[in-house]
Amino acid sequence: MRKGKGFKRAAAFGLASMMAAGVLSGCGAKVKVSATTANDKKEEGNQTEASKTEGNGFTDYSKGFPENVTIKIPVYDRGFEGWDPANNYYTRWIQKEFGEKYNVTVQYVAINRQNEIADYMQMIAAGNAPDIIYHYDMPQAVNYNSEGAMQELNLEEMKYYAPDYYKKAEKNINTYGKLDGKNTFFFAERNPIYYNWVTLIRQDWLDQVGKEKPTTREELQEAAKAWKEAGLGKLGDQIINKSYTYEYPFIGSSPDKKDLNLYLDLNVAPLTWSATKDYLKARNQEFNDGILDPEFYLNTDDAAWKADFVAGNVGTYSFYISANTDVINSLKANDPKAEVSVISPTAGVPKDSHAYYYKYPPYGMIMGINSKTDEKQRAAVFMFLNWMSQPDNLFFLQNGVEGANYTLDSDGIAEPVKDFKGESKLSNNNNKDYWCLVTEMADYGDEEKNLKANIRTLAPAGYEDLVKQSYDYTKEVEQYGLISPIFTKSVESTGEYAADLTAMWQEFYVDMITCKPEELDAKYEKYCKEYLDNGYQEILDEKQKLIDSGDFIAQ
Amino acid sequence: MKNSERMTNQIRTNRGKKNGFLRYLQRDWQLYVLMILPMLFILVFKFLPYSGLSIAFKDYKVAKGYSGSPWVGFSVFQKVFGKRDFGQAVGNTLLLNILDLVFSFPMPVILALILNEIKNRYFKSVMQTLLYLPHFLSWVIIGGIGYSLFSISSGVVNVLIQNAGHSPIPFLQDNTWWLISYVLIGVWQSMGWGTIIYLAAITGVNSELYEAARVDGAGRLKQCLHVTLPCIRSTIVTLLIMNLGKLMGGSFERIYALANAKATEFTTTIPVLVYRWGIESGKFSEATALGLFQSVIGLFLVVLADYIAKRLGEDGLI
Repeated sequence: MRKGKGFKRAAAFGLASMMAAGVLSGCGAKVKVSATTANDKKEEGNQTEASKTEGNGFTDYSKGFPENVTIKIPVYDRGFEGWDPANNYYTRWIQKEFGEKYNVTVQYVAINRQNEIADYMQMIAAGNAPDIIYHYDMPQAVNYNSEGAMQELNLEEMKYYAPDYYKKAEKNINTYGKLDGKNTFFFAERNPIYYNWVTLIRQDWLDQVGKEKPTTREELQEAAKAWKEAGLGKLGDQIINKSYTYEYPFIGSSPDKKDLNLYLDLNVAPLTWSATKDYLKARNQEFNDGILDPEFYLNTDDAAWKADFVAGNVGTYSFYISANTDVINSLKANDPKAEVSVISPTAGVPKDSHAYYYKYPPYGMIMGINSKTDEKQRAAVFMFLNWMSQPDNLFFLQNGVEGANYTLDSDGIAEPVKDFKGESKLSNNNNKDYWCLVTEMADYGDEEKNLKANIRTLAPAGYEDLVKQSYDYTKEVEQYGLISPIFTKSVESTGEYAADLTAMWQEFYVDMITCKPEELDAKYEKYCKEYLDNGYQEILDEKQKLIDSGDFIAQ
Repeated sequence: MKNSERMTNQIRTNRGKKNGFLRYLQRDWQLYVLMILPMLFILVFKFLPYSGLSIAFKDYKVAKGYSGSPWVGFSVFQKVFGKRDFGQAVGNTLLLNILDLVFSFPMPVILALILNEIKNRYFKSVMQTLLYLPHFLSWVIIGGIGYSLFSISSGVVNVLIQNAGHSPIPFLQDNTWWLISYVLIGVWQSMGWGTIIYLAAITGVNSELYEAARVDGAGRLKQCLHVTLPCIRSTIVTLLIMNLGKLMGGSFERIYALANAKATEFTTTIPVLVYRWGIESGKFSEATALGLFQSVIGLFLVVLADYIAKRLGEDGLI
C-alpha cells in the first residue's frame, strides 16, 4: 500500500509540474506577443519618422510599394449558396487590378453577418482583425472604438492617399467622424432608398371579403376582422428584439423634439415612451380581437414569418424585396389563386399619427482603422478605397462584365441578364458587401434613372409594379423621416445595459400584447418601473446630459 | 479488478526496494507514451484556459489583451452579484438541475435494469439503439421538433387535442407547462444514453451471485433488486457525484432551443447569462466572473458529495 501512495505522490508531482509548465508556457507566449507589438510600434515610429522627411510629409506609393504589403479587408458572409466571399471572381479581379499594380496583397476576411460582433470581437482579441473595422450602426461602431480596436485618423494622410474618396466622404467625416474629439470614423456614401422595404398583402383575400386596400391602421384592422369572419388568415408579425423602430407609426401628429432626441434609439427599446404604450395598446387589441398571429413571438427570424405567409396562415408580410426573392413564387405554388399587392406605410399608422419612418443618416458603412494597422498598411487601405471609388471600378463591381452579366440600355443603365450563371456571376446582393466600403447604393446620378435601375434589381420578374407602387407610397410620406440623434461621445450605459434590457423588453412586450386588455395598464406600469430600475433610467440620464451639453447631432 | 491490482502490487513489492517514478517510467514507458495525447488534450483545453480567468478580475478590453487591461479586484464580481438577473439565474439554474437530477438521473438506472431483463437479444439491442438515438440529435433540432409537436396553434399534438374537442394545452408557451415539458424532453433525450454505462456495469456482475440468489429462492424481481442494483451501486454513486458537479451548470443549448418570449420565468440561467453577456454583448469580464462563480460552487458541491459518499462507505471519486 505504501508503494501505492508513493506512486500517487509521484504522479501528482508529475501532473503539478506539467501544469506549472503549461502555465509558464502560457505566460511565455503572452510575453512574446507583447514583445512583438512593442517592436511593431517601434518600427512604426521609425517609419513615420523616415517618411516625414520626404516631401509633403507622406511617402508616395503611387508606383507601388517597394515591398509587398498585405491588407485585410472585411466582407460580410451572408451564407449565399455556392459563394465564397473571400475567394471568387471579383476578389481575384481586385487582386489583379489593384493588388498587382501596387504590390499589395488584398486578403478578404469573411465576417458572419448573423454573428458579426462576436466574430469581430474574437478577431480583435486574437489580434488578427481586418485593417478596416466596420459596422452599419453608430452605437456598435462606437463600442468597437471604446474596446480600443480603432486608431486615431490623420485626415491629411487620408486626403493624400485617397483624394477622390476623401472628397466624397469629407462632409460626413467632418460632421460625424469625431468621437470624444478624435478623428476616428470615415464613411461610405449613402443615397438612401426606402421603397425596397415593402409590406405585401393578400389581394385575393381583400377581394374575397370586398375590402379596399387599407390606408390606415383602422382600415387594416377592419380588413383583418373580415378575414377572420371569412375563415382566412391573420395579420403577420415577428418578434421585435433589435433595430427598434416599431414605435414610429405611433409617435403622434405633433411630437416633442425633446422626446425624439431622448427616446429614438435603434439599440434600446423606449419602453417608457408614450409611443410605445400606444403601440402596445393597439397590438394588444389586435391580439384580443383574434386578428394578430397569436404566435408571432415564435417567429424569431424573417424566414419564419415568410413561412407563415407562404402557408396562408397570415395575410401580410414585410421584407426587403429583391429580384431573387422566392416568397411570391412559393406562395403561388402553394395556392395558385393567391394574389399579392403592396400596401402603403400609412396602413400601419393610426388616424391621429403620421407615417414616420427611420431615416437613414447621410452615411453608409461606418469604418475605422484597426489600432494594430501600421503606416504602410494604412496607406494601402486608403489607396484601395480610392481605387474602388473610381467610377469604372465601382461599376464593374456592381454590375459585372458587360455582355455577360448585363447589357447597357440606351440610357446607359445596366440591364442584368436574367439567371446569369457564368463565372463572373455577382453575389446574391449584387456584390454589395464589396462595394459597401464606398457607397450604399448604385447611383446613376438622377432619381429617375436610379428608379429604373433599381426596379431591375429589386423586382422579381413580372412584379415590377410592386416596386413602382412602393416607390409612389414612400414618396407620399417622404416628409415624415426621423433621424435618430447621433451622439458624438460614447453613451457608456447603452453598451452596459443593452443586452439585458433587450431580454427584458422581449419578455415584457410579449406579455403585454398577449394579456387581457384590462390588465395592460397595471402591467405597463410595473414593467416600466423594472425597466427603468435596471438600466434604462441610467441610459436616459446619460443621454440627457449629452443632449444638455450639446454633444449630439440631430435633425 | 481488485484482485489483479493486489497481485501487481505484490509483484512490485517483491522487486526490490528501489522506488520512484523513474523506475515505473522505464518499465511502462509504452503506457506513458499512450497517455501523452489525452494529457495534452487536458492540458490544452482544461488547464491552459485558466490563464484567461484573470479577466474576471480585470477591466478587460479586447484590443488591449490580457496583459494590457487594468486589474480591478473584485469589482466585476460586485457588479455581477448586483444585477437583476443574477439571483434569478442562480435560482433557476438550481431549480432546473435539481428537477433534472430527480427525474433524469434515476431513469437510466431503471431503464438499464429493465433492458437487462429482456430475453430476446435482438429485441434488446433494437430497443437500446432506439432509446439512445435522441442523444445524437442536437438541441436545436429537438427544439424544432418540440415546437412542431407542441406549439399551440400548429403543433401536431395540439391539433389532435383540438380536433378531439378540447382546448389546446400551452406545453411550451406557459411558464409551468414549459418547466414540465423541459424536464420531460430532457428525460427523453438523455435516458437512453445513460443506460450504456449501467449496462456495462451490469455485465460485470458475477453470475455466481445470481445462481446463489436463485438457490435461495429469489425471483427475477428480487434478483434485480438485491443482486444487480447493489452491484452497480458504486457506478451510480460515481455518476451521481459527477452530476452534482453540474448542478450549477447545465446545458445552454437546451434552454436556448426550447425557450420563447412567452414563457420566460425559468429560462434565465447562469449559462444563458454567460452567453448573453459574453457572446452577445462582448462583456467578457462579467461573463468570466459569472462562469468562475459557477465553477467554484460546482467544485464545492463535488467535494461535498464525495465526502458524503465516502462517509456512506463508497469509494468516492477524489
